[in-house]
Amino acid sequence: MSVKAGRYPILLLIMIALFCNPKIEGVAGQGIRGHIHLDTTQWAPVAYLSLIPDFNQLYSISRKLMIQEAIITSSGDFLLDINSLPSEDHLYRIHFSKKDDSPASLIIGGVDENHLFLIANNRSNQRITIESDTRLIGRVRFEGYNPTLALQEINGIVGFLDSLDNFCPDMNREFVRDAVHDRLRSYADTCDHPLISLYALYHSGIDTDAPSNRGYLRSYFRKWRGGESDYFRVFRSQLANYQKPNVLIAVSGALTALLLGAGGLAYYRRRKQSSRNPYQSLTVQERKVFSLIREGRSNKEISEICSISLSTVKSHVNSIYSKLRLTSRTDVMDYPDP
Amino acid sequence: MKTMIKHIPILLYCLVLPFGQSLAQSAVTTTANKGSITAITGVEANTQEEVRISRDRIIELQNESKASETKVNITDEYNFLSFKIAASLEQGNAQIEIFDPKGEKKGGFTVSSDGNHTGPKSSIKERVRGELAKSFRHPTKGDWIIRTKPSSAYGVIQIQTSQVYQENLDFNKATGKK
Repeated sequence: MSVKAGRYPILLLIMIALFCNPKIEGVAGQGIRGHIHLDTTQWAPVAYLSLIPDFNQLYSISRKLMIQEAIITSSGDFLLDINSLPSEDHLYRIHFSKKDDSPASLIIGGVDENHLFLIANNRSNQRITIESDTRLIGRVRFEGYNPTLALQEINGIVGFLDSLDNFCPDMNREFVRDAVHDRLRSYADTCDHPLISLYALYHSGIDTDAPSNRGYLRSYFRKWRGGESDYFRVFRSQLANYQKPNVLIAVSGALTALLLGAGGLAYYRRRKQSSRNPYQSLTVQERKVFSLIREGRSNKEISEICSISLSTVKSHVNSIYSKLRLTSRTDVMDYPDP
Repeated sequence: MKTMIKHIPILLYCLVLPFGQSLAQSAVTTTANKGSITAITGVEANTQEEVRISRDRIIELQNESKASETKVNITDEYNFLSFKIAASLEQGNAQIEIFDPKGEKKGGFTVSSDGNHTGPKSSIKERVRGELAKSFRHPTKGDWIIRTKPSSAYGVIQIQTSQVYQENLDFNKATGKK
């Protein structure tokens, strides 16, 4: 009896706690809990959840992508079930549709922009509070799941990049954009959550800058090898050409090396030749003429001894002078013994 | 010179408008049919402080798979450019992309519908719709391109472009907000 009596205060406390806790009011339960103030004269009170299978489909709308819908209560709350979601983190989009529009409608930009992105899996309970200002989706607060918070940080940077088109002169725009792209790549490099890392890289303009970032791409995809999701596979296949060394650069590099090698060898040979005794460069006949000159023989005598014409003797003499850098017969006489 | 340039659209406008119509009502509409494509162009010229040229193009898709491009040439005379593109499909898919004169993609979306256009008249629930609004202050000079790539598509794509010159650029005014 005393045990039964003791239950009532506990039940009363639980009921008070349920009543007072604002986080549990409206829609209770585990999953993706959201809150939005919709103008229900314009917008249908339904939240739609789409699974985005790869980054190319961030801004794709089709019924195939829409996997779940949740009614938005009169107080603006909704609950999306996570039990049916895959166990690995995936990218999702929540959107709202106008009453007179198809449920499968996506509005990008402007005051009626109707969607937001998040990361979730079948255990990621999280809460999203959407504040409407002049826009349907004004300030958004995410709680409970860190990958979604990181995603929003990147989306903030991407939004800043978009705003450059309106609030920055053309030249400064490029400068700021390049700096932000570099920062996003650096973030992608150091982030240890594969999907967030790839999301940052995707928004860093790497697709247009890929030719000059081959080395970065190779090491990036090498880093994530093994644990790749479809997001990686699709993105990697798009940039496949830039993950291999550039054939043109490789061929021109090899040619340069070859030319340098050949040049080096020729230089080495010349050096070797010049460091040799110049006498070694004389032909057999020139050496014979050289020794006859040293004996004091005239050109005519040399011609008779060697049985060659006088002009040939003169030609040999000139060649000897040139090779030994001499100018006269006296120089030949003074030349050190070979 | 700038004042002269600003008046060119007004002069053009006066040439094609019947007498007696006021500038405030200015909206010239020409319609051209080319296969499944219907283009509607509107030219609007306002005051000396603001020149605005708006163009609407409606592309009707009847089992269409042919890509098309819409060019918007931006010269020094304009300091604001905006696009509003909407695609509504009952069957097939369509990809819409905006490129600046440097060839850099500035936005886009894809709509894809598994609906059966030849079946009973499709309801609103079977339609798939995408909409993109983008605006650029001091847009890069040159040809901006809107590329549409439909594939076996039934539906409509509407492209609205607006190039504006304002002496003192007011973002809200340029985007048409009150």
